[in-house]
Order: sequence, then C-alpha cells, then structure tokens
Amino acid sequence: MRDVVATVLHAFDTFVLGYFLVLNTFYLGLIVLAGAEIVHVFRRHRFAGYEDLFTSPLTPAVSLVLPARNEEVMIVESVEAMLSLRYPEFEVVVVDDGSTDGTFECLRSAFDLVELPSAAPDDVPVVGLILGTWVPRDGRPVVVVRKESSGSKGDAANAGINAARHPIVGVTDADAVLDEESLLRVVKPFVDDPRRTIATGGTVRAANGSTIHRGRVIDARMPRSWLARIQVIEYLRSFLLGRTGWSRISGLLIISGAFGMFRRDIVVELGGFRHGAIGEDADLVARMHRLMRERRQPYRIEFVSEPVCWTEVPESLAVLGRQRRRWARGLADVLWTHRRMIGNPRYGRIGLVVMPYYVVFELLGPVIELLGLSTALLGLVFGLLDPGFAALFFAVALGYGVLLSIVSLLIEELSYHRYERWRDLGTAIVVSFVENIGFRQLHAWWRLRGLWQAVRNRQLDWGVMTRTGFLTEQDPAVDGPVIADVTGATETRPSHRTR
Amino acid sequence: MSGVQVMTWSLAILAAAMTALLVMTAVGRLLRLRRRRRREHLRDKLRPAVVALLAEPDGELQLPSTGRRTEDLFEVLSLDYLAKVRGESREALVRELDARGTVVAAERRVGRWGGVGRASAAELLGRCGLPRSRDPLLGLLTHRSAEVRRVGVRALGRLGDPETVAPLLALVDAKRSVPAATVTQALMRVGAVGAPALRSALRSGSPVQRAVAAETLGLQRAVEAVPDLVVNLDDDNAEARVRAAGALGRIGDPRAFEPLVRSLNTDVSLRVVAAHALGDLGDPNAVSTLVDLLDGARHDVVTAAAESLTRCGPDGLVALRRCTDRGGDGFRQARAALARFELGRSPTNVEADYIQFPVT
Repeated sequence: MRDVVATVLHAFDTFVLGYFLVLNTFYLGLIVLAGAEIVHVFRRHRFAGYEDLFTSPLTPAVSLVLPARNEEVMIVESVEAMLSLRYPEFEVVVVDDGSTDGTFECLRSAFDLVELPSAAPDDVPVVGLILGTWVPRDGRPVVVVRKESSGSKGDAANAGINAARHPIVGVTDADAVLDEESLLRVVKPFVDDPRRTIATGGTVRAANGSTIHRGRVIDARMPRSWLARIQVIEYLRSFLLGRTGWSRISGLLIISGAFGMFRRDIVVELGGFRHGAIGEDADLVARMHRLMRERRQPYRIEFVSEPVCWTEVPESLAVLGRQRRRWARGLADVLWTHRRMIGNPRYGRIGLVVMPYYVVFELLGPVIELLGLSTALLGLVFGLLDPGFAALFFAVALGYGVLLSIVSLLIEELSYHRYERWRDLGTAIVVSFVENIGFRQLHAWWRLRGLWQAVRNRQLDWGVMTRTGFLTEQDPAVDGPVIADVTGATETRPSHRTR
Repeated sequence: MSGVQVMTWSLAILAAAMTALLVMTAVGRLLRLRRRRRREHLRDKLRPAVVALLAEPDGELQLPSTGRRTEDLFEVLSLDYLAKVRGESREALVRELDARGTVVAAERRVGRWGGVGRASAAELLGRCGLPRSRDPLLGLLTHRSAEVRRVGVRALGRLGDPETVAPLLALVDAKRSVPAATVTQALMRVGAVGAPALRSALRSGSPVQRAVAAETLGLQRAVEAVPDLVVNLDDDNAEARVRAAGALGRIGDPRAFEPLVRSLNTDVSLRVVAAHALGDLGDPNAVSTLVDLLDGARHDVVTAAAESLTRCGPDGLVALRRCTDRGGDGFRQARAALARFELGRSPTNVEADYIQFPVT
C-alpha cells in the first residue's frame, strides 16, 4: 500500500513539475517575444513621428475618464497632472461615484466648477443615478459627473463614456500618474492603423518609493517595503513583458483599467463596461475580441510598452490579498462568461491559445501549485519522498521562476532602465529570488480563495481598499512646487482601484 | 540517469543561466552608463558649435573632434534642430549636412534593404527638405512595410513639392496604403502650392482621394476651392460629401451657405457635419434651419445644431434661449449649449475625425 501511495505521489509531483516547466517555458517565450518587440520599438524611435502626431490637427481627440470614489487626498493633483499631459486635444472626465468624503468639494473649489444642464447621451447603460454634470468656469477641459454609486467601477466608467465627447475614450485610475508623453504614445496605433485599431493599453508600474513632482514621476526608485518591491518585479514580468509578448502575437486579453484606450463607438456598440463584472477591463476586451471575430472584421488590440502609468501598489498583506482575490475572481468571471470562446476555432488564437492558457495556467495554476506543495509535504512527513530529491525538486521548480524574473530584469535594464541606482538593481535581484519563497505560495493561496469565491458566487468586498496616498512635501530646491513621495499608509476608505 | 541526477543537472543549468544573466545585466548597465557619459561629454562639446552655426549661418562649423561618433551625434543633433529652426539657420544646417555627405549617404540608405535604415534615412531627408530627395523618397511609397511608407509620406510632405501631391493622394486607396490622416497631414505640409493639384483631385475617380483632397483643402483654408467643394456636396460617396461639408465650414466662405442648408435637407449622412459647418460660417440666416434640427431624433445632430446656434451671433443665442422651453433632447441640448457658450467652452470638433469617419 505504502509503495502504491509513494508511486502515486511521485507521479503527481512529476506532473506538477512538468506543469511548472511548461508554464514557465510558455512565459519565457512570451518574455522573449516581448524583448523582440521592445527592440523593434527602440530601433524605430528616431522616426516614430510623435512630433507630427502632436502638431497634427487630425490626431484624434481623447476623453480621459477617471472613475473616482473617495479620492479627496489626491484627486485635484491627479486632474491637474492629467491636464498637463502632452497631447493636442483631450478632456478629463472625472466621475465622482458616490464619494462620501470631500472628493467633489475639493474639485469644486480647485476648478471653480459650475453645473451644466445635463446633455450627455444615454449611449451606454448606467445603473447609478446621475446627479449632475459640472465644468470649470474658466473653460479648462474638465467635466465632473456626479452619480450615485452602484458599487461598480465599470458603472462609473460608463457614466464617463456617456459624458465623453471624443472618439477615443481612455480609462484610468484617479490616483494614476501618467508619463507626460503617455497619451501620444498610446494613441499612436489608432493613428497608424485607424481602420483596425480598437483598443490599446499601456504599462502599469508601481509608484511606491518614487519621487513625484507636479504629477510626474521624476525619479523612479524601488519601494521601501518588501511587499511593494515584490510587486515591482511582478509588474515588470507580467504587465510589461507578459502583455507585450501577448500583444506581439495578437493575443492580448487584458488591458489594465488603470490605463486603457478604447474606440468609443465600439465600446458604445458593446454597451460599455458590463455591470456586475468584476474584471470589467478584461471583460470588455474579451467582448471586443468576440464582436470583431464574430463579424470576421480585422482588428488590432495592442499593448504599447513605452507609455507608463504609475500607480500605488498595496503595502499590506491584507490589502494585497484582497486585491489578488478580486483579480482571481475577475478572471474566473471573464472566462466563465466567455466560455463559448475557449477552444473555439472561430475565435482564432484568442479562442485556441490565449483563453486555454488562462484557464490552464492562470485559473487552475494555484490549484495545481498548492496541491503539488501539499502532497510533497505530506510525502515528506510520512517518509514517502526522499528529502534530498524533494529539495532538488523545489529548487528546480522555483529556480525556473527566478530565471524568468532575472530575464525580465535584463530586458528592463537593456531597454527602459527606469531604476537608475545600483542599489535598486541589487534590490531587484534579491527580490527575484525572495518572491519565490513564501510570497509565491501565499499568492497562490489568495488566488485559490478568489477562485473559490467565484465558484460559490459570493458577493465581493470589492469597494474597500487602503488609500495610501502620495504624501506631499515642499521641495526646498524649487520655489513653490510640490514633491510627492509615495510611501506609507495613511488611511482606509472605499475606492476604485484596478490592476 | 536517475531522477536525482536529472534534477541536479537541471539545477546546475539553471544556476549557470542565472549567473550568466546577472553578469549580463551588470555589464550591460556598466556599458550603458559609460556610453551615456561619453555621449553626454561629446554632446556638451558639440552643441556650442552647432548653436554657433545657427546663430551665424554664414560662419563655418567647427566640430570639436572628428570620427564616426562625432558625425553620428552631429546628425542626431542636427535632426533635433531642424525640427525647431527656420530660415537661414535651417539652410545653413542643411548645407552643412550636405557638405559632410550625410544627405548623400541617406539617399543611398533609402534604396538599401532593411526597413529601419530606409525609414531613418527618409526621416533625415524629409527634415532636410532638399528638392533632389523627391525621387528617392517616392520610391519608398510602395515599400512593403507600412511604417516605411508612413515615414516616406511624412518626409515627402516636408519637401513642399506640388509634384508629390498626386502620388501621395494615390496612396490612400493603393494596395499598400497609408492612413488618410497621415497623407492629409503631408499634403497640408506641401502647402498652398499643392492646392491646384488637390482641386483637380476633387474630380478624381477615387472617392477616397476626393475625400482626402477636400479635407486638405479645408485645412488649408483654400478659398479658391469653394466652388469645387460645393459640387462635391452632391458626391455619390458619403465620405466625400462629409469631408467637403467639413471643408466648407472650415474655409468659412459665405458662398457655401445655401449648398450646406440644402444638403441638410437632402442628405442624412452629412447632417451633423453640415450643421457644424453652418456654425463655422456663423451666418445668422442659418438660425431657423438650425432651430428646426433641434427637433430631430439624433443626438449628434441636435448637439451640433445647438452648438452651431451659439456661433450664429445674437440671433442664434436668442433663438436658442427661446428653444430652452421645448421638450425632448433639443431642449436639453439647447440649455447645455447655452451654458457652455456662456462659459466660453469650445464646441465639439466633429469634422476632422478620422476615427468616426475612417477614410481608409
């Protein structure tokens, strides 16, 4: 009996190892593709034509929608920073989604808002009652829509889409810090290929620890907290390189709600963000793929690796755990809603490669990872596994993960190299090892719990997130302006945050 | 080989790969920092020489050193300055680039294999704007890479040569095409000398070319093209009609008034743009027509009509105020347009929108 159990355990662990190898090899392939794409972008930088884009009267105007809930700490700074983006014509549509703090009052006093008679079309359904539309008296291109909250960021974004006047709608977070040229770069695919491009997304990076001056990251640094440092590497590997790789093979399924651009007419045709969707950003992109594939219409959904949206990442386990559970549940929700696409040749590589990958490696990954870990531990406890072999087994499985992080670091170093200090590079290398021991397993546990919540269809505690905020201090070197250093927790309030 | 041996070997390979990657990362950073330092040092020495040439175009350029690196950096710096300076300073810089053989080298590179080399050479030739670069650049318009074609189009536009209008226009519906917005911008750069060719293109057999020609003439405010554009309001193709209406609004010539009013009643497809164009004309005679549009069912038409009324002078505002007691979407839009006008907010720009009306 003991031999049978040992054989089964051994076979299962071999399966888990094989699973890890396939997963990591797949990911390594994506990272290599991303590296090729980044080289492609870099080689073309000199003749990319951003100046022409900036000066052209034909560059499409953009409405940047900022769903905001209880963002009084930074909403004014955020909107002012958005207004100073380098782009020929755009407006900022802030949707105050039932804030219970002074978000609206801050905006009203900072921008001298006056109420406009409501004139927005009902192009996409909005569940929360619209309370009014406000604009600055001095004509600055800001629109503030006040609405009752329905507990969904997608619903707030839909209200913003209705109020948006321009053909491209960008959705971003109220606390996002965008690079000055980010709009120009993320809109360029719409100009280069206006017939086919229907959505683009930009890179999201962790702003914790960086120096922010007048709403711009002027000095990127590694955060002080280890948890945030781990997320820096994660974001680099998954958001920058993973998504760039997917985009290279036309398989981008997720555009971050923190920084995504969409053709308004397509979004309207799809009915906007789906109310009740947890991963509303991925859900919208999946529906875009579905619509275009079913119509057999050529299209492009592109990830642009260069424009950066800096966002604050959680620095406490509780908040991070909640965020990751929500992401896992969101993914399950999207895959379940669009299950018809999975493995369906009608949807091309999205149906045949991308969605199956998400099911097998992203959705079921934590189940297999934690099962493998548990059985190995049981085998060790009951003496069914050789400790030496088990140690080697773990070292190989985790070592491949470390290798992926280091490859990501190398590509970052050879391309964007945002973290200039040697110390930050050293920290990043240490984090590449450390994240695989402890954090990775904890992350799998959070994802498993998210999946379980999805299976049980439990209501999500989705609104409550810790608002850390950009602590501001006067810059002694410069007269007047404000320097912000993203660090330290200050308060907890419900807010809309995305991945 | 036993399981333990396989694992041990795998681990050893992983460790070796990790070590190699870490070394590459560190060496890569060291090399990059060294390269940057050198480049900055050279740039600091080079910049005063270039600025001196721009300040005294008749003077002679004295580069602080010689060699490939200096020449490359001079080319990069020159490209930056060419985008910023005009007149004699610009000519001096182009002359210097030509004298150093940079332009000839770029002309050679345009014909070579490889998209990146061709495109970067085309960018340089476009910035220099020498007439002799026309033929090498025209050769890029059929290149298989869309990117090379786009850069070629932009570069040709900068030459300001009317002979390039026809080949540029032909690109919008060629098998290897270039987006209409890119071509339109290049045609705008060609300037007024290209207007006759654009007017001829309004009678082209291609509806897409007619649309782009109309759009460009509108952006150039080509008053002499008004009669031709009025004819295009009755074009068979909706896109060409829409662009002609938008162009007439931009030009703002009163001769367009009657045809635009007529097109409102006959053509649903260009109602929004025509309503907006009437606002651009600002003719008080358009008030009653625009007020009628406020009763329409389409939100975009009602919005355009309400916003245009605010630009038709006091008569438009009076009419708009009267309309605020009406029911329906028109009432809401009238109130909103009035409020926006009183706040000095700009109306929605509808006609220059290649996303809403993709020509290609």
